[in-house]
Amino acid sequence: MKSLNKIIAVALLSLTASANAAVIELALLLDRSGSMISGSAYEIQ
Amino acid sequence: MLAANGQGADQLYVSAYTFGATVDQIIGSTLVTDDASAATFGAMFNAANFGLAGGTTPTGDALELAIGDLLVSGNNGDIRIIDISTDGNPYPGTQAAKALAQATIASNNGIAVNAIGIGSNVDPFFLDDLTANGDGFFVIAPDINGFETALEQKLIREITGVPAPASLLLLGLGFIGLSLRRKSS
Repeated sequence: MKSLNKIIAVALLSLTASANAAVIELALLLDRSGSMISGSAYEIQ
Repeated sequence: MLAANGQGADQLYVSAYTFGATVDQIIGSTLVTDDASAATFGAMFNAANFGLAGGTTPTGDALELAIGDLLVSGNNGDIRIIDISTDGNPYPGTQAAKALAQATIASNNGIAVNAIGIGSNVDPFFLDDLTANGDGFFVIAPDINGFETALEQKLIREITGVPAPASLLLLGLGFIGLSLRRKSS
């Protein structure tokens, strides 16, 4: 059985005003990544 | 991240900082274990005051703060990652050297530093140097429209350890940029 990991991630963001949309997209992606990861075959070995 | 097949769940703690005129924590360490907690984190992200970057890009200061938090945190992790998303380069110039020194400190402490550079203003040489220590990597998104794809591919690579095809393409584009720049310099 695979061992479980504790993963600590820090996001550092430096985006200009023109990249504001990216912030929203990142939030949406985080939503989706939760779905993608929890419902998929991806596992950290 | 959740493990599949009912084997239990990994624990993912995420925090977020912006760095521009100052370095500010916008979200403290938050446990993400499932869709609901990921959605909660996303909502916090949307609600956060980003104080959008401009003027300075203190990449070295941001890394120093993130590494400090990771090293003193009571949440000592099995895997520790710093993700940098930027459409600029370190400024003032001393921040570049400081960032590289901090990346070495991160590597020496088992912390991976990964990066996404967005747009044509980003210096791929710097991101290459910044992430070359340890197991870090970087990708270049050609523009803001490619940012989401780049981020998704980076997440997959971080989770699986294997670059996805699109990630390889983005990485390839980054190195093509490096190659062209070397030829022109």
